[in-house]
Formats: sequence, structure tokens, C-alpha cells
Amino acid sequence: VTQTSASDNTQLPPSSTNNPTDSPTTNSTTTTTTTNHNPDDLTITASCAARIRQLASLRPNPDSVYLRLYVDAGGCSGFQYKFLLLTEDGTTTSTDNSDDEAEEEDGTIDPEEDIVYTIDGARLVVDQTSLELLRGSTIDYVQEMIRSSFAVVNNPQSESACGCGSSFAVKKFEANPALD
Amino acid sequence: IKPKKTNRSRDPITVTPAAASRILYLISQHNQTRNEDMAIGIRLGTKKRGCNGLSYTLDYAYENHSQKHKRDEAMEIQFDDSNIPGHGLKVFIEPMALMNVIGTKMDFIDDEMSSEFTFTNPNSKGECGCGESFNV
Repeated sequence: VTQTSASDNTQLPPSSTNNPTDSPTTNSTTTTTTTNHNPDDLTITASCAARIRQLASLRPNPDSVYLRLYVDAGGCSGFQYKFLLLTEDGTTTSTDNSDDEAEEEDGTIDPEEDIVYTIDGARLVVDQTSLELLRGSTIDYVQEMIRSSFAVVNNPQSESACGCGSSFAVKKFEANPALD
Repeated sequence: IKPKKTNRSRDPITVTPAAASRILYLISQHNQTRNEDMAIGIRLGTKKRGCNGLSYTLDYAYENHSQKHKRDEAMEIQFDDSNIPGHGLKVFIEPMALMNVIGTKMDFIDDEMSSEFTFTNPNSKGECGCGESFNV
């Protein structure tokens, strides 16, 4: 099913060659924008991919730029989505002054921990732990009059969310295997 | 009849040049898709939403806005230097929102992860983590 659906969509690049991870999950990256993709996987919208490419093109080394998404404790609903624009060589981190995050993230992609999604040449990286809390979500770049930003939408793991959508509460908090 | 005098100190909200310039940009983009009834400004409102009670809403305001929404509070963005982009744009405030936003400073922040209008509101007693929702 995976292969068929991938060939249906001519827009998608063939299985990414510059992908540092060789885990089986990387195969699924090519199907994330098709209609019959694995429901447990992430969907990355075209506008999200376009925005990553646009931001990368402004950096000195566009090919090594990727967007990292992770879930952090915090926010009014318990958990928060965090987005960072990083480069693999770690020379530049996000320009905003989100202090502590810049220290944590040096831009290295860990092949054992991280899953790399490649869509139209744009890369989104999610670590395994965060992915457990994101399965089935759509990653979008939402453009509204009042605000344009990266956002996680339709997260099946989310029981309730903050108004802005940056914070959420996890369904069956105590029983969730991702939180062990 | 006295001539209508613009008094900046009585404007319900202040708009920074960054925000005004963004509004101007949004309006020009929006108007490119329209043949008539051009947008001339924005309408600021609030609605019940979010974890802290209220969140801001923005919409376009068109030429006949004052006839359609007679009770809206109207103001014009005024800078000391009228060459600053966005000078003269109209801002309408929904009557229900006026008391909640009076004295608010509207700014625009543009960085890689998000570009958004921000509101510094002296009436706000508490805010959501992301700053979208507030209570008065």
C-alpha cells in the first residue's frame, strides 16, 4: 500500500537520499501527503513545506536547514508544541531569543532518536518521544490575518487545547505509554 | 458645527509603525483580489475563546464600513510623520470590544517561527501562555 500510494503522487520526491536515518520509518515519509497514508503518521501540508523551504533559503546553507518539532511540558494545558529552525552543522540556531531551547538543540540529527520527514525538499524532524504524542497530527503553516505560524492541528492524542493551539492536554494521561 | 478635530490622546488604541505597515501590506494584498469595495482599514474585535476568556479578532473594513456598523468606534492611525507607511489607515473597533481594548498597544512581531500582531493591553488581568487569550 505504501509503495502504491507513493507512486500515485508525482509531486513527491523519491525516497530521500540525503536522509541520515535508515530506520524503516523513513519509508513512510514519502506517503505523508497522500490520502491513504498510515493514520498513525504525521501529515505535513504543502504550505508547511513551502515555509520551511522559504526560511531555509534565507540561511547561509539552505540544504542543512530543517524544522524540528518537539513536545515540551508547559503551557496552560500541560504540554506545548515547540518549533525550532535548525541547521545540521549547528552553526546557526533560531534567531529569536528563546534562551534555553537554543542551548538544548545544537542541530544534530540523532539517527536513533529522530525521525526525518522529507516533503518537497523540506525537512521536518521529530524525536521518537515527541512523535508518540503527535501521531496522526497534521503539521501546517497557518496563515491568518492576525497571525501566521507553524502549528500542529488535529492531534488525535490531544484531549483539549489552548485557544491558540500551542498547548494541549493528553488523552488518558496516566495510561499513555509515551509518558513512561 | 465645530470642525471635527483629531485628538490623538483620545484614540482608543495605539498602533505601532510595524503593525501599521503590516496592515497596509495585508490590505494591499487583499485588494488585489477585489474589483470594487476596497478595504480601507481593519476592524478589531474580541470574542469569547481560549483558556483565558477573550481573544482578539481582526477583519478587513471596507469603504462603507461606517454605514454597515454604525456603532463601531472609528479612528485613524496617526503618526507624527505622515510619511510612515500606514498613516491614515482606518481602524474600527467593535462596540462590544471597546471597553476591553481601550488603551491597548497593537504591535507586529515578525520572526521565523511566526509573524503575528501582539496586543499590550492595560485592561488584561491575565493571559494565556501564548498571549492569544486574555481576561479583563
